[in-house]
Amino acid sequence: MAVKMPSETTRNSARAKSEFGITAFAMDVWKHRRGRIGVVMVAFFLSIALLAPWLSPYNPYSFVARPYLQPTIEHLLGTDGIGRDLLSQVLWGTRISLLIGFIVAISVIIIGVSVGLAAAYYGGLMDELLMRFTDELMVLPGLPLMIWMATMLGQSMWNTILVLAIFGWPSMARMVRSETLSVKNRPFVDAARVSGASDIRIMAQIILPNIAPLIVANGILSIISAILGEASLSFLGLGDPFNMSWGTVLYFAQIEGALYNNGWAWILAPGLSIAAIGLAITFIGSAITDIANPRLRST
Amino acid sequence: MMKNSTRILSTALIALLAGGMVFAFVPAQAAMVYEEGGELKLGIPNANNAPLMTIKLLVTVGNNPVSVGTRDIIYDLAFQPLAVALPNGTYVPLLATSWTISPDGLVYTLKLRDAKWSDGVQFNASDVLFTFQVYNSSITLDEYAICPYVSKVEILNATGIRYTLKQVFSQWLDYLLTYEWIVPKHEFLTPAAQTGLDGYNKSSTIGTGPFQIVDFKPGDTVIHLVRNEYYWGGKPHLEKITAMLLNPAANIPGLLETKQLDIVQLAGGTMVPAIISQANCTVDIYPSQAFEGTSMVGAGLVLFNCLRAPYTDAGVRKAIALSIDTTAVVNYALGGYGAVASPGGLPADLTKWVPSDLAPWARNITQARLLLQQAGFIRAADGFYTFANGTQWRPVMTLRAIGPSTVIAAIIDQNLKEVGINVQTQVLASGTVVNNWYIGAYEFSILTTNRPKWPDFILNIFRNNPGGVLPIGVSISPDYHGWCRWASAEQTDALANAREATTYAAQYQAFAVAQRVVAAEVPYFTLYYQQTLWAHRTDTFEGYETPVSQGFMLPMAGLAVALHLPSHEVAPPADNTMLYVGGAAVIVVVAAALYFLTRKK
Amino acid sequence: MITARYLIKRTFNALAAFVIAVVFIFIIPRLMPGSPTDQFASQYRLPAPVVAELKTRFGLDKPIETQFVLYVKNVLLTFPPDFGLSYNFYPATVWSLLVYALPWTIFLLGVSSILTAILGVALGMISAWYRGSKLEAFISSSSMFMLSVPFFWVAMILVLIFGVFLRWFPFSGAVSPSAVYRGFSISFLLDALYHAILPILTLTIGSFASYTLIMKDNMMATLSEDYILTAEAKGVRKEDIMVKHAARNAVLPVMTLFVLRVGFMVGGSILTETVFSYPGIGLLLYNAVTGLDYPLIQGAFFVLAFTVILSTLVADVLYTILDPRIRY
Repeated sequence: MAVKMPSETTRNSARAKSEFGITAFAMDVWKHRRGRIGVVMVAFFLSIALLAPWLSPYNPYSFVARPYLQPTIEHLLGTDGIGRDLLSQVLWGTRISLLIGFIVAISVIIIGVSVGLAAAYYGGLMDELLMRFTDELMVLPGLPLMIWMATMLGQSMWNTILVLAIFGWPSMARMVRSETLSVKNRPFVDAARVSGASDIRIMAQIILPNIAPLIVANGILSIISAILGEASLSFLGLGDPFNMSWGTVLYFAQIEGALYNNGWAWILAPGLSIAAIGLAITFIGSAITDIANPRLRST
Repeated sequence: MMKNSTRILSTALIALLAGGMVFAFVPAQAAMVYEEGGELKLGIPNANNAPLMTIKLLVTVGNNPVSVGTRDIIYDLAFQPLAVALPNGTYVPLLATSWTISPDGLVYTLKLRDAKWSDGVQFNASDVLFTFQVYNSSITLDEYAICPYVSKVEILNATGIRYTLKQVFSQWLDYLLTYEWIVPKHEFLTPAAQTGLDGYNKSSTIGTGPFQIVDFKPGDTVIHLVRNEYYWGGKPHLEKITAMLLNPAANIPGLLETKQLDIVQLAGGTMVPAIISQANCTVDIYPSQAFEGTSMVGAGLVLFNCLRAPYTDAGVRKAIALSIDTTAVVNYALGGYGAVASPGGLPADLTKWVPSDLAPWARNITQARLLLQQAGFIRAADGFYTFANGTQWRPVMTLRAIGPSTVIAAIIDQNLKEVGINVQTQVLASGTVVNNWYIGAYEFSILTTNRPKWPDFILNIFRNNPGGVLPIGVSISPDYHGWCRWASAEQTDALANAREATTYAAQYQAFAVAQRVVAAEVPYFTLYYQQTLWAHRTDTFEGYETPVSQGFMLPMAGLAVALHLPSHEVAPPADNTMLYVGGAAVIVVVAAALYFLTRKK
Repeated sequence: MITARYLIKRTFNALAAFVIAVVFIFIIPRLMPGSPTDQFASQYRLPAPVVAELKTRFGLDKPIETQFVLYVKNVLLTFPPDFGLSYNFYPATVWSLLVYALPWTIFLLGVSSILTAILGVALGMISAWYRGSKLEAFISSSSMFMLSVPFFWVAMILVLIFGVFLRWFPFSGAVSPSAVYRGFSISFLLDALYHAILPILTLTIGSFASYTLIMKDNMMATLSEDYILTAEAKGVRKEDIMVKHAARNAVLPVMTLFVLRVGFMVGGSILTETVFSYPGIGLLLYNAVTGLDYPLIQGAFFVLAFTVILSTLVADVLYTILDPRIRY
């Protein structure tokens, strides 16, 4: 999702806000209506993820009833094609989906920011090389390459995280680079350089806080891509069937014939969960961009 | 008193009425007949969504985009091997009607059938010799390495052929009869032409089977077959078969319901409830995947790395095997459409070779725990087993995510944990898993595969080969240890005896010994053999109930020959002279009686 | 204003990216463990001499430099590009498989892209027009919701509703399974359209959301520009402001989005084609990758990379032509 570059005035005000720190920012998000809804929803999913072992009525990998049962009191979402409780699968799946989403997003932020900062700051040959490499990764279609790597590496949670992280950072790097380029020639940066600050110090303590809101906004969006990417890989059968995520539940729905056995709850529940957490994160992201760009605020 | 003319008229009328009633009371001899002709719409699951690229039969192995099974179904209609085996091991003669083996086991004499190719040319022994030469010429075709055994092949006459072997190989004939599809010599004149790419885009087949492919273009997913007018088993009733390769997402219940399909093979059991709930649709179960030409069956196994501790101990292997609920595996992984294998590793219904004293497998948790205890494991407080020195035992089970393997793994995972074995399951890339089998970098693994039903193949496949009996001409590299890395002198002897046996009794005894060894030592554990499912409509064609033992191949070609359009009643035949004579006599008698009775005295 | 210098520079960049991609495509399969002959060996339990024969047949026994030279010659210097024979589809050539599959994907992606753009832009304009209202809030929230809905889930829901429950549309394949068409005919076109409805719907529903949100943002940004205020002050009608002034400027960044999203659409087409077994490049690529069919993998990636680079170049050029503010 593209974010328009803030004009001079909003950038100053963003900087002013960052001087007040994270807490002020968080309060602004909470005050924003969509932001509040988003935060509440994320908290809801996080608590499910944490409390899954206590909340789920059965072990998601055990055969507890007849297959293809419709939703009943004992099985609120019914059972899958081999008799495992679906509600437990979806509850436990929250853990895997969220865990993978967050770890990948953090990796993407770290790698993307480092590459983008370095390319923009140092410029010249390093910029050229790094950006060629980044562009190349963006040109080759992402999902097919991820499928390929996943097929090669085998199916485990960590392989999925690796694959998603490797193909997730280029767009972050590009964004960070273009932001850094516009900031790096500002007077305060020159002042810092003249005063003898090291490159790392300049990048980390001067430039970084100025581009922080955009990094956060993009980082939040990369959580969504990570969750969606993981769901896609798992749906294609490349996830770990012994650490089921929401995508894996849908994969089993597809191959175990949920469509032919009236498994509407089986198909609805994991997909709605993915969409709901994505919506929550999008709300938070929208709140952040609204705060950074008051001109576009709609509520 | 009536006038004479009136009397005659009314007499005639009454007589006619009486005659008519005679006719009416004669039971109508209705006959149930059916018409010849009809077009059967056959559906074949095509797992990798690939079109058929060639109908040239012997363009080497492993290269047709259509999976082996899918291709076989179509070819089974057009081409035939020399014979085909029923699930219990007995033979149905096809192009070979009978055969004799010399007492020394080296000379095989086959009598061939009087048949014609679909273009009218007479089938004879030179076609069989030619086919042998084709298989002999290509190393990728002679998969089971039977050709190097042959020292000479002679044509005795138009319907006789004789093979002489260099060395006794008791299972040789089983492979020869069922594995080689016979091709016409007059179509591609040299063996190289049969296996090469020339003519791979031919549009019709010439075979001895009941139906022949016509109007084919490479890349087709709809294959047209017409009946072979010259088929030796009698002209099929059906005139045409339209075979459709169905992609994995195909709505099979819907296609059956809307009559776009008459019969379809199912790739699994998930759609069975939906199909059965439809009117005029049903599902038949056949004992095994019946790809006639190679008599292949689908099987699921657990392989153990017998050189790696603690699986060096047969008791540990047996304990793991005893912990698995194979019935649950069949029910959940195959939807119930499978059969638990015999403990010796062969299909349980292969009565020709399975000794009756092998007790069928049953899950036994108590026995499993006892065996683990005897092997030195200790059950900790959390219920899981540890080594004698107290370290946790976390065995790793690997598998490829192919077919039902994932579900099988889930079931085994749960079964083992229930017993107290804290197994870790890893789904790895296909190449990695196979590589690990080659180099011995695994503990135990799940394998799903297709294999021919022959005990010689099944019992030899996983053992340690150096020192064992090797096929002629096939050298195994020294670092190939057989995936299970298991060596047993008793097994090696038994299988060597089986190979060299010259009587069925001797073969049977030797294979029985080999199976008992497998059941006792469990170097690998065969979970199940798959069954085949055919879903079909009951109202568009009749003849499904023809039993497979009636000499037909099973199931597709046999069904193709037996099926016919639905029968209907026909009116009694017009030729009923006796009835007319009888009716006329009645009329005359009644008329005469009435006339005389009402005559004026 | 477009200059020749800019055009040359962009084309050169595109070519460079393409050449690097081609090399990349050659290297990657050879880095990974496992070769296609391992697949054969395990599946058909082939003895060693057979494996060696297969290696020779597919040219895997030559040294890697020779393989690379042959690859470059066949792929870049001949037309049609010769990727050799597919392993799994032997004896079909990779090119013939690509030629069959590509039109289906282009058809799906083409139609759904147009529909997505129309739908997204229209919704974006509507929500900007009614900014602050409940309608706008609804459109924005639903669009945000749709952003996170996976393609394959949309596909499954559509199949559930329209394929299984209502039985209005077919949900597998590109044409009826029993149909044989030799050449284009009306019945073929109708059958193909009938089978394409659900896949196209899936792609459209899964993609329109970001267009809507971007368009809305851009419209609102544009609407607060000075020249809009001037137009309002001059008394220009609201509809004219929206369509003639604001939309025309707001739509330009949507085009950049279109360019960025080609990769996303390719991924979407893989997921959609897998659910519907639609015989396009996505499904072909998926089967090739999981089946380790190296020549086909190379061919499919080649075609995709070419398409992405070409469309990026075209869109960049178009963008600079259309936007008079940009000068290079």
